[in-house]
Amino acid sequence: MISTTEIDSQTLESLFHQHYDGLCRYSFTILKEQAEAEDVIQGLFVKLWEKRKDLDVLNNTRAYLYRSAHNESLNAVKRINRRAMGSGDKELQLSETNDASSIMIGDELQLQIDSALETLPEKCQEVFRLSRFEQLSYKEISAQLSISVKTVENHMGKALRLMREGLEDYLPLVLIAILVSKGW
Amino acid sequence: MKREEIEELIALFLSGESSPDQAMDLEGWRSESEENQALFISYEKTFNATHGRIGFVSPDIDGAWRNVKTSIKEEPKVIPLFRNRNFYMSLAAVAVIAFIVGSIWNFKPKYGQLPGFDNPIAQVDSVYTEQVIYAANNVESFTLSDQSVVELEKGSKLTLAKEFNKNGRYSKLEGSGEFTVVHDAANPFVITIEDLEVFDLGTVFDIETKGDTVSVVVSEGEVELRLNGKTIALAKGDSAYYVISEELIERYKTPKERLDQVFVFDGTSLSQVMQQIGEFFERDIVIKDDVIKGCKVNIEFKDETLPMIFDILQAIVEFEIVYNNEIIELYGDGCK
Repeated sequence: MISTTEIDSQTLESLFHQHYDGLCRYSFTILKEQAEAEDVIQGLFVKLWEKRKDLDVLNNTRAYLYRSAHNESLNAVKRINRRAMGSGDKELQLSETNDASSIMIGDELQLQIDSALETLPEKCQEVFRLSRFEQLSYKEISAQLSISVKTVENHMGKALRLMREGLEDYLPLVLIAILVSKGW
Repeated sequence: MKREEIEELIALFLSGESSPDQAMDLEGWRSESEENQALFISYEKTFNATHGRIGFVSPDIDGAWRNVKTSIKEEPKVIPLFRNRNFYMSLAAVAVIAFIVGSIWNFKPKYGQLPGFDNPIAQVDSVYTEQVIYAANNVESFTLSDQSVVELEKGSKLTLAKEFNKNGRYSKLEGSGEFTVVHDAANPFVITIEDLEVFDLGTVFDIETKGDTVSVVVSEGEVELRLNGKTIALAKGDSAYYVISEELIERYKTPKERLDQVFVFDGTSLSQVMQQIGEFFERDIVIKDDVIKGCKVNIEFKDETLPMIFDILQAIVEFEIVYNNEIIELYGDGCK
């Protein structure tokens, strides 16, 4: 817990090294693009430096950084989507950039994923499919299935655990296939 | 924290839906032990595999810090972005202009950072020569002599005309940036993009460009686009586009094509809300009971579906929805 009024360049560097990885990881979950996420978080620290004298009421820098990372990442999504729409290229929307449907993975591996998915309890599977294939938000899934957002969270957590157990032996192979399909 | 709670938190996080507090909670849990870290990675791999995603790779923190350090190496002189909020509030209008310029312009900066501009928040004074503001390494903010604020994207530059703010406020943008413009009717703020001129008439609006197309969306007030003698006036909710190679400006025909997909209602009557929502989603929405037409709505929607908007509005104003063929009818007894 520090006050930003105390921030000098050394403090900023310390904060940067302490939080950069976590903040980038968080931004990445929203942006789905690591380079964009890193740009956002670097920009955030530049802004923190610029505004440090105006943020004297702040007493929790970590919370400030995470809130800012959240807001800046959402703004970046909006900005990038606008760029895509501005050019008439709606396919460029961020939410679709990493769509697994465009990834060619081997039939056998796909079968394993499908098989693991089939083992999920019915409601759990339905929630997972809506999230994965329809790319619906938790709120949208909640509205569509007439269940609470908390229940969606329960199902998604459970689905992730069961999918992990079902795919444990295949995970490295699946990841390699994805990397190859992405041209890595 | 229970295992189920952690699994839910991880799923929420990886889905991109966690709040800042939840992200901090997870980060805290993850850093508690190597076991936690390993478990998180295992879940992350599962999520990425089933979602066909390439996962997050540990970044080069030292390299990233060098980038940041380059941008903050000097002591800032004045005026962070929103420091003078009272000043802005005292003015009649504030305009926000955002430009994103694509690679079609083939912008290759010829300028390094000029003296006085290597600090991203240095005040840019009016001078008698053309000035170039250049954001070399990161998004950088500059305050102009008229108190307008320019936030340039990395690698972008803005050229201010001679006697900026003394004889009009003319500028030319190459690259990307966001402008918060202080409105002054007697001293118009004009930004040139290729042959297009955008005149601030006291409003809030966005201009987004990618490649060959520039799009303008007006959130508040009015904007005027001028190109080769043709003028398009845009009011709140309007949008238009400029195709650089074809020297063409056109108004987007339907509200559906507005780019921001944001609705801000601040004390707006339900009838006005439904009119805007209906136009955007191209649905006929009719309020059948007059008593709820004037109910005030204070809310902002971003990229929400129509059913979700209805759900949220129903929590604010009690009304029933009846789907009567193609018409959506709303019934209610009064405002909450």
